[in-house]
Amino acid sequence: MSEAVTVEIGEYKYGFAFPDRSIFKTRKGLDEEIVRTISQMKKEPEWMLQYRLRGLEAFRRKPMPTWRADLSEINFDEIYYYAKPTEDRKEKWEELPEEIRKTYVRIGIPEAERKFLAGVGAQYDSEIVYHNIRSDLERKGVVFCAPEDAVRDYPELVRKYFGTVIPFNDNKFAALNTAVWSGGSFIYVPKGVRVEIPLQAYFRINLESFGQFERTLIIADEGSFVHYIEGCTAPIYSRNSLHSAVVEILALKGARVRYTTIQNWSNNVYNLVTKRAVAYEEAVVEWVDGNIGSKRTMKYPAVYLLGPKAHGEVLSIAFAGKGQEQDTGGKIVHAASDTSSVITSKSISKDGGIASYRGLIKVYPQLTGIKSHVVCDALLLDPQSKTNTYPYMEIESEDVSMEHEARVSRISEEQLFYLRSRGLSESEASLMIVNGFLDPLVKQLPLEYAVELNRLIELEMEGSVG
Amino acid sequence: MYPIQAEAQKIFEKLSWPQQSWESWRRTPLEKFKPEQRFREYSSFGKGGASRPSPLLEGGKPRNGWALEVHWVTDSWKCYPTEGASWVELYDWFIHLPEEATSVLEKRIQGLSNRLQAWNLAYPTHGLLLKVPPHTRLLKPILIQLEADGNTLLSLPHLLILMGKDSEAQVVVRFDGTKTPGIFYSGGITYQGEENSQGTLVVDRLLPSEGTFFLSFEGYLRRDATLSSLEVHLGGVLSKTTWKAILEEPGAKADLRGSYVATPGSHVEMELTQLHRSGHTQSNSLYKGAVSSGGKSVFQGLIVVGEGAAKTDAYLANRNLLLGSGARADSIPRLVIGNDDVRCTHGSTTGKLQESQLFYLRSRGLPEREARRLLIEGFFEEVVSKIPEIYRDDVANRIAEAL
Repeated sequence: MSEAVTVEIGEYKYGFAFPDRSIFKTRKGLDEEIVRTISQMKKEPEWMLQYRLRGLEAFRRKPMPTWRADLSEINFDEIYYYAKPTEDRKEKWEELPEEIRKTYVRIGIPEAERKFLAGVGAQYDSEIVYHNIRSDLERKGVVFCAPEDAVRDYPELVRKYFGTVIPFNDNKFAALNTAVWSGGSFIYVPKGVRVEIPLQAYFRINLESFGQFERTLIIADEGSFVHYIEGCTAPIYSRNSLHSAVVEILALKGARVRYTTIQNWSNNVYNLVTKRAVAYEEAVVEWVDGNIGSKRTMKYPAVYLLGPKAHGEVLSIAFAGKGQEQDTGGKIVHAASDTSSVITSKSISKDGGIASYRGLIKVYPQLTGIKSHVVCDALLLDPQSKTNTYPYMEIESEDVSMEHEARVSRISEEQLFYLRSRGLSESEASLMIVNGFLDPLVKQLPLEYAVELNRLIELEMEGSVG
Repeated sequence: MYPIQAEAQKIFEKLSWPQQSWESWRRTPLEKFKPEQRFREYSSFGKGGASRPSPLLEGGKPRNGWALEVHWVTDSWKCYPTEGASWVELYDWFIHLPEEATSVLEKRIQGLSNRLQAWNLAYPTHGLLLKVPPHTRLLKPILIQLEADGNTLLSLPHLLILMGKDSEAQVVVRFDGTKTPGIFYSGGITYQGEENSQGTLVVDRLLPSEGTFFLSFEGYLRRDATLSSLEVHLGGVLSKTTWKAILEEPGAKADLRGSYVATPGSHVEMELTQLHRSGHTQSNSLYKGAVSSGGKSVFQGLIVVGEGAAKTDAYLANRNLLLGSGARADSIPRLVIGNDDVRCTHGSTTGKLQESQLFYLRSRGLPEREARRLLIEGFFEEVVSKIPEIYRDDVANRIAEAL
């Protein structure tokens, strides 16, 4: 079984691909027939089909965002919107087709699952091919499954919350996702249940010119806790792929949800994702958002603080290398009193890469006791690279403490000189400084991920000089 | 017509009026003033001006403390010089505009981005050049007052300031529309600081409560030139300024400050750009404002570092004080950095008066009103202290009054 030839770029470790062995694939392009076909394949109820069609209509009507990254290269007619890799979902890795299993073994998912995860979902192109959750959690009533299964098995929950945080017409790409969504995760954590070990989903694109549109809905009931991690990779092709996910989170009274992303798409993937959470009374939502891969990323995880004493946090790490544009950030909307928020953003630009922070802090009128703190640090590793900061602050209440600061710097000569005088080579010294720069964020990751992220940064940094 | 007016008019034709859909105009209540409509209403206005009598240096003494006072009331202007300022040159564009001024204005015209900005260059109601010749150092400040006479509702003045090599001057520009309810100002100021010049520029405006005020400032700083500026915005229903300092050559330095008060029903908007075209340049900004219930302020700051501008040092700060519920302050400090060898930072804070500070002052026997006044005064002190002494109390008092 031979691997398809891929374009070699740098050290991107996950650039391998297997031949297309999808058992079903829609034709290129998007129209009503394709949306109906996807819905039919999934044996969906009529209401979901109707919702998809409304999404399609909104997608056609909505303009392309023009305010940032150049998206003109995306040709919506040249993309495959749905590809089904296997007949059904498996709960054992051994049952998966050889190539798909090999893919995940190479990425290291089965091993990670054994060691430190409470549940894993693995998506290959359009469908979740593997899904498993520890039985003790299942007994406590924790639901972790593909959203298609949730539509079938938990229709009340899905109908109550699906599309309520991010409406079908929120923006062009959310509308597109609504029309053709496939795969993703559905999580429900019952009242008071704490899932101490993370749940993980892994997203893999195998096809060329493909669009992956997963849909994730997380409902953390009162007083519960869950940590969800997603990772993503794709092969390197000469033609671009599109990843456009929608992630909705509801943290009910007193719940806490932590959502960690390590995005490591290959450099031919447009990553245009809408992520939003609502936090009710005393709930906490944290987004840990690491963006290392992709060609262009536009992603601003949001938290709407709807109940008093809710807290929202966004930790964002972006690494923009050659030909990459990372347009990331975070949004916090304070819609209740005594709410607080923190946004911490760290970005590194190298080899002409562009890293931009774009954020919003909004405080509605008539609120008291609002606190918000935003820090953006940018590190430029060479004269060709660029960094931008666009923070928006819209404050309509008086009793607010709002702080924002941003810094742009490079690796200073003094720091390099000091480390070199201690016997480190220039590249070791640079790497040490970059790791130190990211340290406050990396500390927030589970240990295994921190190690993984450090290793990724190390690869990205290889061959760079100060 | 002044020398390059035809060119300005051509550019005016090509540009469009500000659109609500533009990012920098998204927050402006454009429906409140409808510039296009105003333009049609006054299309016959401001196109001539050539018949204006030559300005005369009037007798009479300037008020104590000023080097020079210029009072321009719609179609006539008066000037009160002192002996010390006799070598400062003033020109009415429609009578005579020296060659050197034309080249600066040409540069300015190329940078115009909408009709509202171009208006006062295409069809100015006043065109004034203030030239501080090389090696001239003025110890006392210059006052330029652009006053509306109460009859004309539209005022489109443009002021050009040329600071010669090694010169030094402080200029206070005051737009006075108090006599004219419903006054509409769309002014422009262009500033050129030659090598090693040191300029201080204070822009102040007096507006009736329903007055509208637009201003676009662009300053070009050559080698080792320094500009320190202050915008003061009090009163009026709507005001929006674009203030842009362009550091063209090494050693240039800009210190840009602003103070503003948005009272109930008023919308105060400022757009500030610190553009570093050359390396070894420095810019620093501090904009402080207070917003009371029902007022709104918008601050959009931007630091741009060009690709070749290494060794740049730039700082941008915005501080907002919210004085009551229903006050709204938007703060958007942005950075666009194209070079790695820089130090660029910005900070923004928004909050209310500190309870603990109020408590402290009250425990010392000050009534609450007085304590609040003191704290607000202290808040503005940092920026107001930049104003030439003779004018400082005037501004400080008006800030206190506004609140």
